[in-house]
Amino acid sequence: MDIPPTLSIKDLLRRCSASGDIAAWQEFVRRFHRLIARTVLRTAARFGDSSTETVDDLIQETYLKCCADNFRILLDFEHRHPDSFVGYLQVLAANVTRDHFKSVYSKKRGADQVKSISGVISPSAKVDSAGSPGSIERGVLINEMRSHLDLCIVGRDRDRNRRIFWLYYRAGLSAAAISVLPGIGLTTKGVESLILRMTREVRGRMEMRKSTNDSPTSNASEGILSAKSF
Amino acid sequence: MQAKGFCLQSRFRKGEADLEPHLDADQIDVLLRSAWGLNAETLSEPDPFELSGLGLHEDAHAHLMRCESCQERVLEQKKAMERLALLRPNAPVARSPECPPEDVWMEVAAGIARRSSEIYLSHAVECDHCGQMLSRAAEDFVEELTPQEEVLIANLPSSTLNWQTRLANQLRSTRTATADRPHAIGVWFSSIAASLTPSRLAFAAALAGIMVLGLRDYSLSRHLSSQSLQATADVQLLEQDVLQQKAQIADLTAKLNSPLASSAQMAPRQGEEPSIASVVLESGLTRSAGEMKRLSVPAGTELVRITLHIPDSPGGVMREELLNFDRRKIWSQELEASAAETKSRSLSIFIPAYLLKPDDYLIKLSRESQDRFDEVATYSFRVPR
Repeated sequence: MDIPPTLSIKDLLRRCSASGDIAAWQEFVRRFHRLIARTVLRTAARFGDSSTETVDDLIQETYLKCCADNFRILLDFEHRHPDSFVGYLQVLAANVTRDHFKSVYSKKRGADQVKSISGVISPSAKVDSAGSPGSIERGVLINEMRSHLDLCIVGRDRDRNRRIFWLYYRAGLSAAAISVLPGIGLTTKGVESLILRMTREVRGRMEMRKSTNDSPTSNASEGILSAKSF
Repeated sequence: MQAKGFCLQSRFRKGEADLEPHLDADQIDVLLRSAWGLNAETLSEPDPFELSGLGLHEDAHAHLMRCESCQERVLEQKKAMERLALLRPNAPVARSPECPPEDVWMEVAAGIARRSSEIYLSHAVECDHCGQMLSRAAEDFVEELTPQEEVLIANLPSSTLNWQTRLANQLRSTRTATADRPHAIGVWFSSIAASLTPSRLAFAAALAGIMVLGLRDYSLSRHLSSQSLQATADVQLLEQDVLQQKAQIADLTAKLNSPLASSAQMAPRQGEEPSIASVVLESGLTRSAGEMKRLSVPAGTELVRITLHIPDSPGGVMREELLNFDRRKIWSQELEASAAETKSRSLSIFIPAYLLKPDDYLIKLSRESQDRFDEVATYSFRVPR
């Protein structure tokens, strides 16, 4: 019997686990293959081995993990929102891949891989290590941004918006990645629009602070808080 | 309402009202998004095709090339964007003891919500190491494939219909194999039974009897010693429970009496399993006094709620600092007591469970007064192995 592509994930999982319906399993593989393949491929690439054989083995391993313990995962999964199984499957595929490579590397490490280091080594301090001029400068910049943000962002969603700003600029997450994080509650477009508005506000503050500092007649009481454009 | 646009000032500068309009915030954003002007100090000639592709009208960039004021403004904005780009660390950052396990970032990036997700995210925006971990996990979960990935996935044998049909059959048969297991076990038992003779059976029974007697004796002595340990632990737990229940009763009573207590606040949050360990602490207990409160943190616990009884009323901003045995600060937060807490002279704090490894801990509580914090009380507890 054919499975309609509109069948919910919840119902599909139920059909897969409850009956030996080959059509249900074919639909399961059809729907999730791309997702599992891309997660395995990317994670494997981080470990330096994205060969066809390895990736295919790990994809198969992920599917088999779904069936472990007599389909416990499929049967007990709590669908908190429509995409929750998708998120879960991604984490499962990434974990299967990481576990595989960890085990491979730990075996390698145990096999007389230790070599002595000859010569005298005097490691130089990294350019961006803690306490370096670069890191101090960055720390100052972070504090400056923090104070701009405190002035720019107000209202009920202040904490969330501030978090979005830092995730975007400091952690380097994309708007799409931020939108799926727990507690954000915005679409990708919503995050993009919010970042654009916050960036404009912060840029404006930075520009204003600079012009206030540059002006010899500037008055301390006319600092950032009295900016007219906000 | 919060200003949505960047520049609320008139698009005509003072004394220029008769001239054409200056660039607005949207147009400047288009310019900043383009590859226009690679060097922040100078502006190169923009590519009209690129800019019109991004939605910037020809008139606007014609204006820009004539207007020094707009050029200056765009340069300033460009420099600001370059400074914003410096917020991102440009090298891998080492992990600190406060960082949660790396596995959590995959769950967070995949949108799997847990009670502690908020805490993890708050940590990630402050910690460069965890920010990088989260960013990396998020990159792995991005839906769009690069052209190279498209080719790689399309060329996988597992992307063929044949492979997928074979896998679907294999997955289906996993179930069948599980269902057939009792039958297989039955066959195994009958083959064992066939090989047993009466003499072999008698010898096996005698051996089994000796083993059972030995095991019984061993388990009896072990049971007695564990019972004595259990009794001590039970007494401690009971004391802890009594204090805890007192605090909860005080808390609930205060909430019920409070006219501000809304039904929404009292309702449990749907879909979130409770995974909080709790302990109630009295101030002034020290390690040397031998009265250290024990807090067990079972596996899977996400948060620990610690209720601190305060000698005087917990008014104003309070700062809580958690120190480990080596007196190293591993957590701190500032908070204000609710009305109920003020009434019951207690303060509840939540700490991520992953921070509390087996060790002895000290909590320093201080109160803000005139730009400094004065110590109010100290508390100690132990997280046993």
